[in-house]
Amino acid sequence: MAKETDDADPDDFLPLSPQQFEILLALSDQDLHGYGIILDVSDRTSGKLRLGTGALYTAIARLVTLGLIRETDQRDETDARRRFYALTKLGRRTLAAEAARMEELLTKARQKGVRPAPSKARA
Amino acid sequence: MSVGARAAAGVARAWYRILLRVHPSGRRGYGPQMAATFDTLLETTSKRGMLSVAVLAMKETTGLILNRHSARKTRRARRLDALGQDLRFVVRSLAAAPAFTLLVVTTLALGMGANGALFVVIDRIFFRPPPGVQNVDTLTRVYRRFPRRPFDPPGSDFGVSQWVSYPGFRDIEAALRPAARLVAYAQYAPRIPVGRGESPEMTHALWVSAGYFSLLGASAPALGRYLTDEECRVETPTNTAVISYDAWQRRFGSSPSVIGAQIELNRAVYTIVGVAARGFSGIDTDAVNYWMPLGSFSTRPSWYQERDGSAVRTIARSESMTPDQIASVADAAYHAGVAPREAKTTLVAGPLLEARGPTPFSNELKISTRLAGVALTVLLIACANVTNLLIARSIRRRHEISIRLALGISRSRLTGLFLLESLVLSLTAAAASFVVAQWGAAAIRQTLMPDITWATAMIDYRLAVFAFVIAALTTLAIGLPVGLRSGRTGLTLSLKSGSRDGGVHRSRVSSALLVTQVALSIVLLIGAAAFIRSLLTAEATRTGYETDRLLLVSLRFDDGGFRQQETAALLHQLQEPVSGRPGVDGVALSGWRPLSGYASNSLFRPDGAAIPSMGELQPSFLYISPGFFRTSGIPIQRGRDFSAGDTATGQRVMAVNRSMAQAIWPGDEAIGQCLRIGKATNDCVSVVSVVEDTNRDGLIDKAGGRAPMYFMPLSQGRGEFGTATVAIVRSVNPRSTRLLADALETDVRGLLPRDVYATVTPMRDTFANQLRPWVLGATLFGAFGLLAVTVASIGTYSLTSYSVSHRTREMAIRTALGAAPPTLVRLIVRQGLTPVVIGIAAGIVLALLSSQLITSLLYQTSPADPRVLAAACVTMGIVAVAGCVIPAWRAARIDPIVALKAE
Repeated sequence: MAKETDDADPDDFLPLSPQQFEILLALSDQDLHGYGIILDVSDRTSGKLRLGTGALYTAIARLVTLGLIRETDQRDETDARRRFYALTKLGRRTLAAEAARMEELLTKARQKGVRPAPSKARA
Repeated sequence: MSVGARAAAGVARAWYRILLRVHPSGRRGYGPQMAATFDTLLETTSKRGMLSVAVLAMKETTGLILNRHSARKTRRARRLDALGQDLRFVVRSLAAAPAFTLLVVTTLALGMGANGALFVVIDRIFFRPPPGVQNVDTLTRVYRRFPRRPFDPPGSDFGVSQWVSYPGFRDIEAALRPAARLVAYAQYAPRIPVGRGESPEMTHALWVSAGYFSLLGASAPALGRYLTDEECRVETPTNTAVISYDAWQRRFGSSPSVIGAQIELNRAVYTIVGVAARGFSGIDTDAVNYWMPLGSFSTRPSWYQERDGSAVRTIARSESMTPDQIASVADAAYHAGVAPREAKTTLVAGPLLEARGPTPFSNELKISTRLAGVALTVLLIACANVTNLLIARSIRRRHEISIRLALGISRSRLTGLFLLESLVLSLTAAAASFVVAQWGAAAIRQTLMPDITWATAMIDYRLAVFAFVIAALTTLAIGLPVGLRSGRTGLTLSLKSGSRDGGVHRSRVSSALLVTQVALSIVLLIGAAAFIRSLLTAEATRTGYETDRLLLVSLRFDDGGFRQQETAALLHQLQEPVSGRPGVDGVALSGWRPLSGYASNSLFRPDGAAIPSMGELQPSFLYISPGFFRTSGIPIQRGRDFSAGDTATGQRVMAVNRSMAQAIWPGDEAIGQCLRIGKATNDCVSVVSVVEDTNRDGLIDKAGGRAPMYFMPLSQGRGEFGTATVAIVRSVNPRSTRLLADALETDVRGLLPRDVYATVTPMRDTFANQLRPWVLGATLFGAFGLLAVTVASIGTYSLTSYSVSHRTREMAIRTALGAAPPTLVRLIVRQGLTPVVIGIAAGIVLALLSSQLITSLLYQTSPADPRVLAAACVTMGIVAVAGCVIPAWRAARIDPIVALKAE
């Protein structure tokens, strides 16, 4: 597992995949376990993005390796197998950087006169 | 939560765990969390029913297989989207044809369930280590292998036993130390009584030497302690006991006050000192419920000093020595100490699971291994049947397939579509097969090993793994033929011709599959018929006794003791009141139960010359009361019956049977001759009568009903077998023998002291053990044969009715041209039966080729027996004709105008 360092450049991790982005977003205001992340993402996207466990844990494994999230010491009382995850400082900066990148993209698109379709917006 | 949802959730959970092992994150330590998350998902979903669970499981497992980790539209992701679409399509199209889906799923579930049931049984016997025992691989059983004794069953040159004397065990134990540890355990009988009374609970209990629990690696006791080394010393017997967790729950309601309680086992009182770890139940197939110190095994002081006894079984644990090394060290140590008669014995090693050791297979084991082959055959039949149904369905969907091809679907995706359909079908069937397997395994277990309590649950992840593997193989077996065929569908041809010509020619593949089904079913039917024939032949065997009229009365004392004189006295007392009872046509006594083994003695002529031993045909003897021959229905050829005049002090007399008379005095009159029995100096015993031959060993007689035998009066009885131990009651009417048994048991109880119990058994029942192999074979092979025939009949029916439904136009034209309905029926039945007839012929050849697999299990018959063949063929024939006639009759009633207009 990568050490939590401040010297890594968040831009190295960009762009994030939608799953990675959603997971980081889910962890931005609270520590969650896998099932919690699934629920949070599903709620926030009104059920449009439904993470399967295979995809979820592949993404979690990758994010942990990259040092963007880390496993906490918190344990679930009902099920000892569960592990909670938290954003690292690097993860938080990366999330911000990704949001900024998206904003920039959006701005550029607007400058070119692209407007989101009125009826059907993609999540 | 519904039962279905729970079952589906169980299967899904098992599969998910298997898939975790191949998933990269699962392997990198995320497995437990993933399982936890999946479990929670399952839990929330299962409230919405079985279908939701199935959908979730399907999504999650495909998700795991394809590892959906990137939303970027890689090729893999695109393929996954396509898979999702296909899956939805398949599920929808199967739901649109519920009858078809149900038929296929049921057929496959029966086939898979049969295999699952056998898997549970075979796994338990051959592969699964006993629960609660650590590091099974380093445990070794020690066996004695000795030259075959005359009474050992034929088939092998060696007999094998796990039993050694206690001093032998000590010698081996000392020689193996410290590289290996060895413990010993003893038992009186497979099951011993707990408590007293007329029918006490019978349980499996062991007396164990020091270190038994620690050697096996049993976890800490649930309560109290295990036996100490001090308690286990044989020189200082201690009556303490450790009970199993199961017995604690069952018998003591999990009460903590069980420690210190007393329990009576095999009529001795033990103080309970501990409850074994949950799940630990010893190392035998039959779960152990009580463990006592070896010292309390017997009150006979010398039992642990006898060198030529065989009191204990042993098990060794060593991390450094191989089983062969253990065996050779043990062999040397054993032979240094034992009596010379053990010189020809060698000690050999075997694994913990006895079925994989050197002991020859019992009939039960033989039958269960054959049954595994039978179950596989049933699955093959089911697969052939389902493939046929799928092919028929794909032909019906030709039009649709052609349009898909025309719209540009790739042939590989089309093949994939069919494979996916098969996968969905076989996975659903696998889930359903769990129910079949559970029920079937319980039934097989109950039939094969009724006396054994299995230590572990029958349904677990091992069965799930097995079901998954079977489902995967089934998917390929049923999906590939259809998928490949459809991939070849000619585009223009089928679009042009539409559905009209779709089924004019019956596909050769379909016919071949039907032939296969019928052939395999015939093999199973022949097997079943051969077993049934064996059973009938064996049951009809004549024993020389009027078996159907006879009841055997034996006595038991409450304390389990064996009191020769008291038993004899009580039986003599019973004789008169019982013979006066209505329905009774005579009572006689004998030294032991007739037709249940025998004893023999050396014989000498009056001049002292020894009569040479006749080996297995050495004349055997039985002490009897006057009237025994009449009661048993054995005709006296010449001479007189014994009488009250044959007193203990009078001239010793005997009756011989015909074979004995011929063997000893060939050509001479036997009556008037005399023989000295046991020693050349003993009194000469005069022959006073010659009686008809009878069986010696039971229903099935090794001597073929011609064993030389002689009978002597109980009044002149001497030695161990010279007193009455059983009364033989003759019933007036053979049909009421069974009723009389129940009535007599009540009557006799009133005539006996309170602490003596009588058992009244119809003589026929005492042959149950001898008949068991054929009862088992007939029951189990019969059940599977029936299953196979059912599946095959569905096959004939569906194939014929499918082919008929596609020949509506042809039938209509024939009718319009004047064909009468009976002609049409004949035509269709003939065409439908052609593959059946070919299948029957092929099946007979196959059965004859594989007949040696079961020949050794049969009695005076073989699969080639014409009656056996005929029975199987007629059954198959009837079923096949029934399968053809119904659709044929329907076809003959087609109204030509309606049918032709419909086109």
